[in-house]
Amino acid sequence: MLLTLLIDLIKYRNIINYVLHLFLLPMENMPLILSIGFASIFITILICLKSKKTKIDKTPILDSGRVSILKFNTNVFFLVYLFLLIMMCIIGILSEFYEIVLAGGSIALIPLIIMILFMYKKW
Amino acid sequence: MALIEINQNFGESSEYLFLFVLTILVAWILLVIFSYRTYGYKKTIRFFLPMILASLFVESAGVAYGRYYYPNYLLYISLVGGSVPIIIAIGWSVNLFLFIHMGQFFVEKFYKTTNLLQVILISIVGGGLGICLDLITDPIAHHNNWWIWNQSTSGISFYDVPLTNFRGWFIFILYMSVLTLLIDRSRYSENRKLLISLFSISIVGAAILVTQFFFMGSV
Repeated sequence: MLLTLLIDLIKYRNIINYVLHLFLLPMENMPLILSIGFASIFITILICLKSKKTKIDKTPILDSGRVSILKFNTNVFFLVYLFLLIMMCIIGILSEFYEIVLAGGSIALIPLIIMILFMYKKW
Repeated sequence: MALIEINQNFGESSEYLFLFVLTILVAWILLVIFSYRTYGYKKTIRFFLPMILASLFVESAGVAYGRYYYPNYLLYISLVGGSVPIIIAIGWSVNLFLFIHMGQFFVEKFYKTTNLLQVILISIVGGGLGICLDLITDPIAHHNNWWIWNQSTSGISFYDVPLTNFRGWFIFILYMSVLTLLIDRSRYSENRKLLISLFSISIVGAAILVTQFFFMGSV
């Protein structure tokens, strides 16, 4: 295996070409990406090491997304998910792909049903 | 290959592409406005921009590897050889923001302690929710030529979409959610969090995923 690796390394002349060959990608932008990548890793480590940690009383928690529309309490994420699902169903129906609207649509509907149960049912 | 490409034949051989792009844009604008009002601009950038960058890397690698391609969009960016429409990256940022919050909504009902386990649980639920929505999105996209899976893609498929795609969705959302939440809950100042997010998530995360893509054969 080592011999194969050595032969490959000779074939591809240097380690960089060999690594690029492994990735099998058209590499026009790779020098740019690699330099940005290495610089980013270096800067990230530097920021983490140099930064002073601040005292926080409470761990930041994400917003629940509760909104009130026309005196009706709901959740903004529920609405966005519902919007995406409805649009996909409309496009599916317009493109006459009814099977997936039924199959995929019913699976995608499950999280919304559970959300409704959690939002409006007191356990 | 140029870094940025403009296609002048927008939507030429794809059905309802304009409607799809419009849907993503509306969802993105709604969530960005919500995030800006709730968290302020720094946290909003922290939630959206790293995912846009990371997805550009991952999707570009996927296109360059020949697993799929995106025809007929307007604006493309090519990072590692494959051209990816900017709207796709914007769509990924919608996914991350939406599924992290929905994940927290579900997990909070059963597990209220804010620790590493909660971060992992939120991310797992978020990944699962991503698969649920993708089960309708991806087949419709393939049917309408919004993106095309190459025929050579082997393995089991769901309406011509390989199952590895759904595994990829799960891993990508899980990974980015864990990183986003860990940075969000760290004790660095807001400015530092923003810097760390931009420098670490997009580049390091994408590098790991690109590697995973080639050596595990998925995403």
